[in-house]
Amino acid sequence: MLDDPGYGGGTASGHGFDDGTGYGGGTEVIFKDNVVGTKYARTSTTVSVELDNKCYDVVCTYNDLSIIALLRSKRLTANLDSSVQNGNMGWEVDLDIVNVKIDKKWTSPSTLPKKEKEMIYLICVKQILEETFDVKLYELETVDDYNSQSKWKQAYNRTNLSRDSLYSDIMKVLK
Amino acid sequence: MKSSSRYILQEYANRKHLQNIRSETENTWRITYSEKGTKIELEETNSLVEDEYNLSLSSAKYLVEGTTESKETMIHHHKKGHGMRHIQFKISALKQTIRIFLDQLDDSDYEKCIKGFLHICKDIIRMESKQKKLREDLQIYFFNEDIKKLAHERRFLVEKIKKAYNSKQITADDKIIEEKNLIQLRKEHAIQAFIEW
Repeated sequence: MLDDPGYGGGTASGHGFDDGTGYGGGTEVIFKDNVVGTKYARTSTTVSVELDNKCYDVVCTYNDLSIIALLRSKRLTANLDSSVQNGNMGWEVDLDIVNVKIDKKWTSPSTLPKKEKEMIYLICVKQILEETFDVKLYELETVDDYNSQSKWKQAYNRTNLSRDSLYSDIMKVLK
Repeated sequence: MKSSSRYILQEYANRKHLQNIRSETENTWRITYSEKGTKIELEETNSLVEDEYNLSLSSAKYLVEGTTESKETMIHHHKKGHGMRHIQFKISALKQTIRIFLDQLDDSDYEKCIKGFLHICKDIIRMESKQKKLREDLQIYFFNEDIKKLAHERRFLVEKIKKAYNSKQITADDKIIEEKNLIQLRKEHAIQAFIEW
């Protein structure tokens, strides 16, 4: 959460569902020969964002990456292949913004101006990455940082996050 | 998850009386009519975070719930599956709960079934209005002219329900409905529109 205009940040609180619909069972990582695949479960959370002195509550759905975060720990990957051990396993967040609260009123994200929605999206991705993988992406603080491909690359490289995610979740948006 | 969102009611509703209620995780479109202590409510709810849809008519507790089998995405080929849909009609009337399960519906059939339900709702509301001697023409209050175009979808839905009956997918208070129950149920206004084959 940031106080100064021109900065973006957020805090997230999860909804969590475990209702037998197929979304509560969690993501599965499938190892077959030398190929690693993932059967994603979706999860959702609400991220509080402050941007240009405006407050938003942003409801996001995204791939549940908690199992991937667990596998990054050395203890759990001792018997797995080197790509997993090194944390290079491919994954992506695939985040959708499904609802936004502005001034106590919930509204469709489609009503937001493109640039505003894009910045909120990037803040939410950062927030979810930080919480899921217990990392701090300190390269990303100002609006300019969020709009900088090189800052995102630095943050992903330093924390050893997935290249698949960097390209599909970030670079495609910043193009 | 986005794919679960279905906004069908708006197309056939009288927009003058249609209200939108958006909460953190749900988006609802609702029409309510109240007169002489009678409240009739037709609403469509899309979950924004789960794959769930429901359309309900609260005058006699009709509820249709739709869900989708879980989808999968494989990292290396980014293949996103298109799950088959399920619908459960839950009708609480005659001091019992009747459930009709429709499985393995593709997107198009799923929508047809919901539209068929809307056409049945039109008749249920009209019947309710007649029985309770309500002043307003409720068909006009709830729907626009396009609702009349859904007769084909209604026949499609009834055909699906007939198949569900033949494969023992209709229950009353969790007991499978047999032929003798069906004959009895056909005499009841609340349910007959669903089983009129």
